Amino acid sequence: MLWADAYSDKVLADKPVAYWRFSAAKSPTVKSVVGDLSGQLIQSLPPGPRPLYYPEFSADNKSMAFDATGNFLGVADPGKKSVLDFAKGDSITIEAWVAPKQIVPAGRFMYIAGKGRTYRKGVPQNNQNYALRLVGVKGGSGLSFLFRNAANTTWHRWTSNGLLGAGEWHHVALTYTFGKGSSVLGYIDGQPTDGAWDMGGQTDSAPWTDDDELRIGASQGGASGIPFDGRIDEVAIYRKVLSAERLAGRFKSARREFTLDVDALPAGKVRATLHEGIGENWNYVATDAAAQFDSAVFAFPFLPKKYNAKGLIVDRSSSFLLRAAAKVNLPKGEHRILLRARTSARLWMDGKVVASTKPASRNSNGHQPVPVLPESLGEFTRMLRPGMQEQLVKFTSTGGEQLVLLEAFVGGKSLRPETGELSVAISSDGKSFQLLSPKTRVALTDDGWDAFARAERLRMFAVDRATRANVSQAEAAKWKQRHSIVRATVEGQPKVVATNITNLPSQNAIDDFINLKLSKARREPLALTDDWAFLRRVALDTVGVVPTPEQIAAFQNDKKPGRRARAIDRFLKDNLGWADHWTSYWQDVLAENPNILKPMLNNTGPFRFWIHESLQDNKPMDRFLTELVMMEGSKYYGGPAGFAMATQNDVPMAAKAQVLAQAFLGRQMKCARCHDAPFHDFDQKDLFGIAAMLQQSPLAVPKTSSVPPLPDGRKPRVEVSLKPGSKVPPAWPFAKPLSEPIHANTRAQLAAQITDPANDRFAKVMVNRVWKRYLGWGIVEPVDDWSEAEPSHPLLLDWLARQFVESGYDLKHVARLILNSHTYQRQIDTAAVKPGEAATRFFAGPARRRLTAEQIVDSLFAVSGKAMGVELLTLDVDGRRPVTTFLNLGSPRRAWEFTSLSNERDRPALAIPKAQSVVDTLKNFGWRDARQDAITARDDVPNVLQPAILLNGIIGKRATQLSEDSAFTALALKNIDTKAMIEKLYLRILSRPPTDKEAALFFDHICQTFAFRVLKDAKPATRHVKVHAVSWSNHLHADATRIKLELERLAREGDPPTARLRAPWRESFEDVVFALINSPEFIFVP
Amino acid sequence: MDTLDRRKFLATSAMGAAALPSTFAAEKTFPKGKAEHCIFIWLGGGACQIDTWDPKRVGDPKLKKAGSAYPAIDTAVPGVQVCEHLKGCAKLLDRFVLMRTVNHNVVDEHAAATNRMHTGRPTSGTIVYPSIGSVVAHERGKANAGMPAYVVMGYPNLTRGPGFLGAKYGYIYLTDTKAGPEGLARPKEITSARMSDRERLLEKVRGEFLRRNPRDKKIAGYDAAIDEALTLGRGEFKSAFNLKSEPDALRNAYGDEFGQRCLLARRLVQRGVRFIEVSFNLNFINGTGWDTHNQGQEKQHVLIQQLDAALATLVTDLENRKLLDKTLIVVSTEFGRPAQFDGGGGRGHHPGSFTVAMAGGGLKTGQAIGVTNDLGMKIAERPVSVPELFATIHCALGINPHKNLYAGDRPVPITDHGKPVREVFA
Repeated sequence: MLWADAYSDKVLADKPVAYWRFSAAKSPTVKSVVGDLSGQLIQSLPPGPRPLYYPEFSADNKSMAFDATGNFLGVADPGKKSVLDFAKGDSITIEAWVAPKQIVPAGRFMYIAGKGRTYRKGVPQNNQNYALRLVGVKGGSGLSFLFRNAANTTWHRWTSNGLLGAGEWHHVALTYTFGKGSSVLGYIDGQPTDGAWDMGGQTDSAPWTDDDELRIGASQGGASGIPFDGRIDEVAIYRKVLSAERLAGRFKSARREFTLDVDALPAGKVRATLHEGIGENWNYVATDAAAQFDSAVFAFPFLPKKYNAKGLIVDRSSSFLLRAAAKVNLPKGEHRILLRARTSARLWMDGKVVASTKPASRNSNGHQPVPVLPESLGEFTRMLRPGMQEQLVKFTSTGGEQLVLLEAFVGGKSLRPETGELSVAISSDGKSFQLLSPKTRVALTDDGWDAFARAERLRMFAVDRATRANVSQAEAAKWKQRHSIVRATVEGQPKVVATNITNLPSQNAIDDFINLKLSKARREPLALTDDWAFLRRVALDTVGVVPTPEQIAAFQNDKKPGRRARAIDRFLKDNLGWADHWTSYWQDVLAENPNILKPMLNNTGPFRFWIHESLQDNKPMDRFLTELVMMEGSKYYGGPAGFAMATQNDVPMAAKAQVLAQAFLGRQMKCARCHDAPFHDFDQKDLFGIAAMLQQSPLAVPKTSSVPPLPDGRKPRVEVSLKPGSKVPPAWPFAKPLSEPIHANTRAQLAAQITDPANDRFAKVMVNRVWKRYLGWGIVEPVDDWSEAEPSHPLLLDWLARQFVESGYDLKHVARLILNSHTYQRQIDTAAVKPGEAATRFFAGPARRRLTAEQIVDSLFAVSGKAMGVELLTLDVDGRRPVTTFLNLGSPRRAWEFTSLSNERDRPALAIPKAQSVVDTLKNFGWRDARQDAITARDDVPNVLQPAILLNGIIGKRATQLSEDSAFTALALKNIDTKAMIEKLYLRILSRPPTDKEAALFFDHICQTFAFRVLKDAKPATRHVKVHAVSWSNHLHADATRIKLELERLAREGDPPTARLRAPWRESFEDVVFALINSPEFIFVP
Repeated sequence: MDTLDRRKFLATSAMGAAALPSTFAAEKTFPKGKAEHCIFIWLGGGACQIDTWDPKRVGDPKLKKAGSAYPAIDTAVPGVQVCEHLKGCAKLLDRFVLMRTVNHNVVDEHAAATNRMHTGRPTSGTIVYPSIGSVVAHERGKANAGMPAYVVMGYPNLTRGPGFLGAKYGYIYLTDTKAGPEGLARPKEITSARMSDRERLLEKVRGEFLRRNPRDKKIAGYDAAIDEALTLGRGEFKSAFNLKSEPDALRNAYGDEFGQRCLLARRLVQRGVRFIEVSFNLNFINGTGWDTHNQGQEKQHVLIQQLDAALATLVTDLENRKLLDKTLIVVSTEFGRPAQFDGGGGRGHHPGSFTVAMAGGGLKTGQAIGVTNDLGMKIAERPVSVPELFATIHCALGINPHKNLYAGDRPVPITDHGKPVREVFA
């Protein structure tokens, strides 16, 4: 039989006399599976009960839809005493699956199936042999069984006590033996339900029988006759009473409700769980929690990431459900509750849904009108963000503890899994809103939310870090194992020993190697730099920003010997700061290049997040390299799979091979993309061999990766040994025996080749990179092209590489060695302006380094104590576009998070003004907004735009102006004297006290009216930002351009100054700040 | 071997019999134009050729009848017509050359087409090509030491960037003529008195720092840049942005923000800026700018009128100042638009044939190059490829269109083997 499934097998096993499945009807004829019983009805056949929820049905099971217009299926009675006729003594079982659209209104009915009462001509109107119906009763839908007595004088009606709901599939059944009133029994979802005979009372009398039709979906001629509203399926009639056991087996549902263990909720906290594979609507099957975390408030700007067993970011299911619950004490009385969500969400208070939001709109063609966002909530309530919905409801509390449950879907088909500002807020005084919480008070104002979101992001870094460590323990053990094997191998090799030059200062072996060369050349090392400069230098080199006044104080207050080493350790312990500092380095070196608006040349996924996490975890570099080469994890949300992408590049893996060779082997293979490298010892075949290892299959050389013959037919001067189209098999070109097992996977094999201890190039290139970062020049230069490399200190290079390998490829260990060396801590060797020849590179002291673009920007915000406060890095603010064309890189807290703002279209409506001011600054100082290829050393030649943007640009203005959120404002309000204030300002900006001359200069500038600077009665202004909903979806509307031009103007205004300081004095103080942050001292590593 | 040595090696090495493309190409002759500056007007979104420079029979968006949106008018050049909203330019068309058969194959992606029309070639996986502005800045340098070589009035983006030539050949950009480039003018609330206060304090701090760090070339280099920035904030460059110093009548003749940008472009030319890209992206007029899908078409005529007023005034103004022959004006766009209308009464994209207008620059003006078919959808005569267009611009500016640029050691032909359109050189 067609459409047979486990369910129909069960039904047929019970031998029904009629069984309509509604699955075969292509014609209007609806046939019974058994017998010759059919009816005519042209009707759509929507899905019936199906897996996953109803696993016994076939995946394409259909049903019949009925609506209130009263369409029905009429089945002719085959004749007298037919299988459809039931007389006294006959037993009947009638069953069906029903999905009523609504709960039957009280006292009303919905007809499922019955015989007679068709109002057809030639038959009595009340000729109901039997009928199974739903009835509105007790706030639900009950079963109703009805027949007419054989004398046609009375109705007999039975109503169940059990009820069923609306919207979902239910199995209903009724068994009865005519003539035996007490035999009636109903079943809902396989469970028996008793009931009561009401109209006509219980009876043992016979029912009416005749040859009228059986009808499904409505009686009484249709619309007037209690039509069914919803779907019906699997109608079956038996001439016997099916057992409770058989009927119990009819209803198999995988539908699972969530159970909320109220007692297990942590006191004072919101417990949240994430559930994947749950669909996109409320018709879900509960799934186990994929993640659980606690929160202080009902607000979720960030969710924990998901990691695989290797600790790599992976994607959750395209849609998932957040459930967050807490017991919250709500005083008796009326409250206003505000639900904000991006897509479908609902809020339950004590078991009832009190607020909800709709599925997100996906209309994004660019021509939509710009919506006006509501702003009537008053009291500085933070405005709704574009792409968010809100519902404001009144809730009357009975007092005491209420159970609050928020359910919110995240993501969905072609939506990024973002929560935006998903939150529940409450206003109990009729005025200001607080985020709903069992304990914590967070005001739903701009300042309140921003501070909360910033703290929440930091908290989520820690949550994610713990998750990673937890799920990847086995992976970590594997690498530990490898390191101990490698260590054993290396320890067997001859030791590299440093010779101490006794008359030259030395703090560790590094200095011995350096001093030896200096002493041979009869040169002197430079003296140790002073403590102020030391601390600033170390802070910049470890966490990427100048030290805080507190860090300076901690260092200066530590009077015991070894305080420099302890300060270094304190900075190195700041894992997040370390990651923030080093991420941008690897973004350059690995050509990380995400684009927020549609891919351009050589765009990658944003694997910056993997880099950042690897650095937070101080991941061993052999593991780092291996993960990069394996290209696994999430492609668009930050895993190393993003490295595999190179958009608009016809051989992405050749581009990746180039990056890897340059980054980890010091081999510059750019030329080999198109021809044999004229200045290097490798051919095009070598590059394509590595590329094929990444591709995991032979790779064809395209025409575009070749050098064509010259127009006059002559051959190009460069050697092209590979013809376009020739296929290169995966092969490691740098022949060296591999000490590890051979991997079948060519990517794994490539990673093993690169990190093999027999290949000391990898370790040397790594330590040389750290050395250059800290000393200004590499032991080998250039650090990413060793073709003609000659190390300035071969033994030191060997020693550092050995240290690196023995420490388990620990870059931080190498950093610690260098930072603790006398060499690093010496005064700047101003003569070392060029790397020069290896023979004349001495490292008498570190070379002068300008702060990187990122260090400048981050330090500007650090010294002024301000958050970056720029827009979200996305052009799809309202979240309507898929991640394949629009990324959202979030709200940056550090400079490495920026990227190209991608306004190739040159449309004002696509401007991101505040972020642009940071991007401009970064670019002026050598950061690249697009990293289409890999570099290590940036151009650091000074140009006029650099000082200009700090002198006059938006970023300079934001740092200088004493706004409400500025640390300079807080300092200026301190009750201290002029001298102390200048000293503190110097410490904050330049990490040192002023010289007497400097102190005097600024004293003169701000001493006038110093005593009267504070306006005692002025209150700090509350920030309230008007939000505009310009996004890709509406940017082609003229309003979008007008709004953005206005926002650009506002961005130029900067952050408004505080009213708590008298303007003339405030301005003079700003002038001092201006002079200090524009001093060259600010942007050079001391 | 450093980069220069390698290049020399490549150029002179006897290794192998073959010569480099550069030596070979350099032997070719090219028509050497006399333009010193270029004002590159960018109609972002894709301006419709048949609604501007290459009018055809009039169609009707409501009836879905393909054709121009506006009637054509005669111009100063017999036999060459333009749309009726280009009245001003029509009278001056003898100062123009219309390249009516420019074409490429990038249809649906604005960014990619914009890139094509800024770099003159398809992207390559191995190299990032520089924009025309950066190439001109690289080849011709600054015309005045105190001025930048390349200024963009529009949004910063990769397409306008220097590619492999390096940041040095990038642009200074501004999006608002009143505000000027960020950083080069002090914020408006900082009075000059306060600025001198600040500079005085800064000078002392700088002096103190330099005193403590003698013989530090890096610091000295940056310190010199501070001086330069302060000078730029006061000097000739900044004065260029004072459009109010122009006569009201002239300012009015240039028109709204786009016109003011053109006026600013002229002032920058006068001060020695080599290449100025002026973007016409004032999308508040119709929402879509020149990307006239759907309802964007309705007010397209306003864009065209503004373009006309500004461009005609610019040509006249430059001519009056004897700068027109020295200044090549290019009116470019990423692609054209089809003669058919879309469901919303607007137009889609059409890269198969579109117009790039040029004016001045010492070219042989007063002609249209190339002919398109009856609805402007296909090329009937004399196609002009994008590399040919670029080679023509180079020649007009006296740049050898056959030479090589260098990406590190790698020689890269300055255009994608384009030959100049010789008809426009006298």
